[in-house]
Amino acid sequence: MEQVINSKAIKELFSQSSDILIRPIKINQNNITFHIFCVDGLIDSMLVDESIFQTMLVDPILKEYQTERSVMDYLLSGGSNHVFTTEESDYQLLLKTVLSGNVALIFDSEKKAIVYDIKKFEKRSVSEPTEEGVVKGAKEAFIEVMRTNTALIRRRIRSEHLVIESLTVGKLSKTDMSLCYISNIANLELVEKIKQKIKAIDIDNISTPAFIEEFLIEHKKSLFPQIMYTQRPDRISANLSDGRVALVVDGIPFVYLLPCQLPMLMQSPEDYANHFFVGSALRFIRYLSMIITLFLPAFYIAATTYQNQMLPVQLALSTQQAKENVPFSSSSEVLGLLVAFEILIEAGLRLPKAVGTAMSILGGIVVGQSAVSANLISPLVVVVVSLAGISGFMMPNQDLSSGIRVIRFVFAFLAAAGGFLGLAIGLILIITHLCSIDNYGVAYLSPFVDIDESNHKDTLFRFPVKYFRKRPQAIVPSNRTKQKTQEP
Amino acid sequence: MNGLSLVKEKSKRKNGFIKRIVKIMFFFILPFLLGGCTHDMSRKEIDEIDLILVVAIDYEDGEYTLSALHSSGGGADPEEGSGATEEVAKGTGKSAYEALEDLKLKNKKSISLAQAGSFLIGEEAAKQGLDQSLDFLSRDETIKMEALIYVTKGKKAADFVQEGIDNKQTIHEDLDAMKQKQQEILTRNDNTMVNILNDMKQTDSCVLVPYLLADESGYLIDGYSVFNELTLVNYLDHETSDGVNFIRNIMRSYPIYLDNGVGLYISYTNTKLKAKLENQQVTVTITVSFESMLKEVLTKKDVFTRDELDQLTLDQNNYIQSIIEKPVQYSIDSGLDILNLARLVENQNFTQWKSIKDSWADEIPDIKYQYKIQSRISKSFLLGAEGMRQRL
Repeated sequence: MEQVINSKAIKELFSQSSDILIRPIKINQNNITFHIFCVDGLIDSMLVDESIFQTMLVDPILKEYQTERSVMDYLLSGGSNHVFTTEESDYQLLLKTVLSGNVALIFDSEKKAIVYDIKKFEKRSVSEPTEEGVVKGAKEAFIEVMRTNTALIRRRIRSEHLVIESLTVGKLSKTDMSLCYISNIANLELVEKIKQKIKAIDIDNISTPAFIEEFLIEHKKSLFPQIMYTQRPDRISANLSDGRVALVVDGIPFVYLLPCQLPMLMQSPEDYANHFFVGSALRFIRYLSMIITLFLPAFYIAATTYQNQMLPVQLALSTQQAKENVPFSSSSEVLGLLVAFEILIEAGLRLPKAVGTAMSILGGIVVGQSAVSANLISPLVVVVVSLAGISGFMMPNQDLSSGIRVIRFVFAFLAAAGGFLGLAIGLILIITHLCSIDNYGVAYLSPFVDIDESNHKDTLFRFPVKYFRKRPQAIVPSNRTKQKTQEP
Repeated sequence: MNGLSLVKEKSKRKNGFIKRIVKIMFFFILPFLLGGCTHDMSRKEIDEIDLILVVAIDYEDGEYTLSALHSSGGGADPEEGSGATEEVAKGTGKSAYEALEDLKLKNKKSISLAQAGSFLIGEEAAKQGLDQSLDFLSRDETIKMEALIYVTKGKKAADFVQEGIDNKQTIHEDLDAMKQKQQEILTRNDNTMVNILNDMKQTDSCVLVPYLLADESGYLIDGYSVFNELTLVNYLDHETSDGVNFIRNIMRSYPIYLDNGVGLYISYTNTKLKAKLENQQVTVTITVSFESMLKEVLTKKDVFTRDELDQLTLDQNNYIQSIIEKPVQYSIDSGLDILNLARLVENQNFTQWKSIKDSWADEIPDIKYQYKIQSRISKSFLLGAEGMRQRL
């Protein structure tokens, strides 16, 4: 049976919740009474007093109305000192809107309510991005409040074509989401596909990012991130202009971007803040770091255990001398130290900042110095694992960095099992896997695998901005022109 | 969906899952399976093997001796430095390969020839034939193809190595330094394993392998040893070897000392050989063009006038021609094709070559040579030249 808006029923529903306020208020001599319905702590009580009660107490016109309907009409047509006023007749929507922080005035005989958007709750202010900080560039980062985040995007794209569609996910949490795209650029089929995916999410609570990410990605078993997140509004606006779709989720201090390709994850805002040559060099180093972090430990194992001819003579000799008194095999050394490295990282994250720093120093000294002195590991292994570890932190995207850390172990195992043959097999598997990933109809390795040359201007190297004439073909089939070909 | 189709669906899913697991396991097991294919794939920690750096091959009393120089550990102590020393492991046998197997048997650790950068062939072993010494090496897949081959003139190669150890030389580093020095003079090293093996296939020509001389300060490449039919027959002196390098077009730089007190330095050289075969007569035209710069002027004459510079150019041309004529003369006198002309004549006169192929050895002394030497003195460094001439 369909439920109707009724103060008594709502009172009963929330009888055990102390933060829900339902109070009867009599407004004139004609015995017209409505109920105020709100959540304590989510509303701006001063504004409630000013916008609702003070107006009602002093307004002589309001006293004359004899029916609830006429009072409602008056309030909705400007009778109260508040602009964001709507009428609600749906019971479920009323509950949702009040639990989101709005204030409702329930008129029982009309079975309707007037909703005032007078939210006020504790939130962080917009601050500098912690993960994607740049020296030269904007210092704004998204916060946990969806509307603030959409405002940050809107402030950067003042086009009437920017669409911010609202969606709700989570049977219990009823988390608000906004799907942002530029209607005359984005592929609307893609937008619809994403919308359908979001609508299909049937979960109680969107409490952590993984809860939404795992529903949106297509290859769930892949270690490579297929959804990109960013803390930076400027990055979102740039990607929206490229035809991508952004998803703002309430409670998550970053915004998702879809579809996501591997080269995107290797780009950093700093690339576009610097001279294109510097940006390209930095990006190239980042790709180099990815190769180092993935393959260096495995290469060391393969070269010291199977194919020592891969090492130059002097390096082979120094490796041999360094390993002379170490009782463990190269693979045990490397894998052991990689595990120790992961333990140090995890422990550093969990501990309070002050203790974490002390532990890092302790860990560094114990692993780096004492273990070498005690002949438990050779100094070269410390260098190899440290270099691989530090190179891993060069990844601009944390999800990619974490995935690569796991794959690094797989490569090390394969190298321990089969030397360079194992490594080659691993490499073939990973390339095959990367080629097989298709993200919302766009190849994961795009634009590396794109035939259109214009897509290659922002991949391994960052070309000057004047070359960014076209939007990525794989994402935007039409309206591809970004800038006209003209010299100033 | 009825019960039977549900069971079928479940079984299908299960089969798919098992197939996937088998596929994954196959890839992980593959390296282990292939690991047993060749001995190169077998697992061996780097500290469990002796990395052979230099191999000396000798022949004496009907037996080959292989002396393998390797570095012996010492462990890593960053404060005390490595205590690594160079040691020699030896093996003997009826053939070089047998000697290697003997060496492997006698040595405490396994050995790896993968890091060997130099192979020294003793004079006696060289006289037995290059193929006798190098055949087993050419079939070892771990050998570096860019490893260098030398002949030790007048000595056993093992003595050469032992003397180095006695003189507290780091032999492999000294040989490597010599290689670097050689690269300053020549554009490429022709005595790499791959080049020598290629030359050995050319049966009509001689194989030239550099020979080493040693003293307390280090090693020196003095010239080429000549192998006819893969057997050592002679050694070329220094200047004749330089002439060979010019004709092979591998000379990068070369000093010229003229009798009139002027010293020059060749900074660029290019040699082209043309072979003409007409009426059973082979004529080889050697065209050398080079650029030089004045390095020393110890004469009162003003060498910077046009006439004097022309004269200097003529003198340096004659000087280089005299260098080039030496290996040519050696070839005529000995009847040995040390300039690898057989391949040249064959390539440039393919149809006529067949008519003289069988009598090529007899043709060598009758080959006619023509020389075209062109040069330019490119830099004269006039600064201060006037004052210096007055002092002289």
